[in-house]
Amino acid sequence: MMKDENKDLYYLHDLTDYKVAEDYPDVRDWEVQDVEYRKVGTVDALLVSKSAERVVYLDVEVDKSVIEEGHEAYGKPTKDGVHEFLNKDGDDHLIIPIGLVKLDEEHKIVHAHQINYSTFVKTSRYSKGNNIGRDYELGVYKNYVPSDVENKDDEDFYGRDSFRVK
Amino acid sequence: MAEIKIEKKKPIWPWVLVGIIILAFILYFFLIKDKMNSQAVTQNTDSTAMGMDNRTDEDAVATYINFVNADTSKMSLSHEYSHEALTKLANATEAMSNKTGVDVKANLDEVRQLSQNITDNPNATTHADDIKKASIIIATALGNIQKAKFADLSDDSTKLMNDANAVDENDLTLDQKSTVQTFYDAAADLLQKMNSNY
Repeated sequence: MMKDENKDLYYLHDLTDYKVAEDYPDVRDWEVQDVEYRKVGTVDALLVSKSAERVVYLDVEVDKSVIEEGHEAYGKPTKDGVHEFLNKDGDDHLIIPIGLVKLDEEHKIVHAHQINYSTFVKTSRYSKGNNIGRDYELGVYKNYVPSDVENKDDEDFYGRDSFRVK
Repeated sequence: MAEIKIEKKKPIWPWVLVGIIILAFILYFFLIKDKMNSQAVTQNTDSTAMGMDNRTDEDAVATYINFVNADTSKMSLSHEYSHEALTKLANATEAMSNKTGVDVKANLDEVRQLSQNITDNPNATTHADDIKKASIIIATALGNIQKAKFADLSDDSTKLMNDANAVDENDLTLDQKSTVQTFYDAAADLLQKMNSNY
């Protein structure tokens, strides 16, 4: 059973006694690109699993172009496709599992090499400052990785491949 | 695939503690140093004050009298003896001045300086002149004390001045050692009488 609140998920900036470990890059403010190297936003914050002591999501502030594209999509007739999520005005943040990106440290770019632009457009977003519940995580995760049929229990949610380095 | 680990920040309090310890050590060091310095100054001041006390108490008078009466043959040692005798006599005169409360209006430090000249320049031929100047100053000082406090010792005071004047500044000290010794004896005699009558 999923909990509404994930007690193990924290913003790194809220954990004042934690920091990005040495030899690992702090990707905040890095540009985020989709699979085709199209900019979709900028890393605004890091979401970490305190128990695993690692970053599990990147909190991305999406570009206006992504938001506007979403509006266009929702403006189309329903016969063109059913959209799972509906974003409100002001919802300009989304999360990306850390395992779904590669880091270009030289150019300070986060490359979401498995996610295309349209996936970002239809990904559920939230307003900065809102709490992230497990339901939201799961919804976003299924949007990114619909083929994942792993049935990890709640305690091992971040043990999925999409949160780990293989 | 990316991975970014996090770690606990190293606690800052050990560094704060180290800083406080270093600060405390520095403060301790300077405070102790200051305290030691002030103690040293106090000790120096105390010892100086004690020296002044010794010089002004009756011991100074007794020291001179004992020195003069001890061994007159020391006159053969001329320089050391004269230096010591004049210094002790200056101290004794100052002690008597303090004891009686009479301002002798004499520069006893000049006596000490003249006394010092004798040992600083042992080969000089002006020792008799120095001794005479010192003797006149001493005789004047003790004369002032006598006039103020010891009316019945006027003869002794007059004799002392005469003995001081008897020293010939143009003659070598060794050639008139009995004259000089007479002055020292007269000064001791007068001081002893003043000491016992006050």
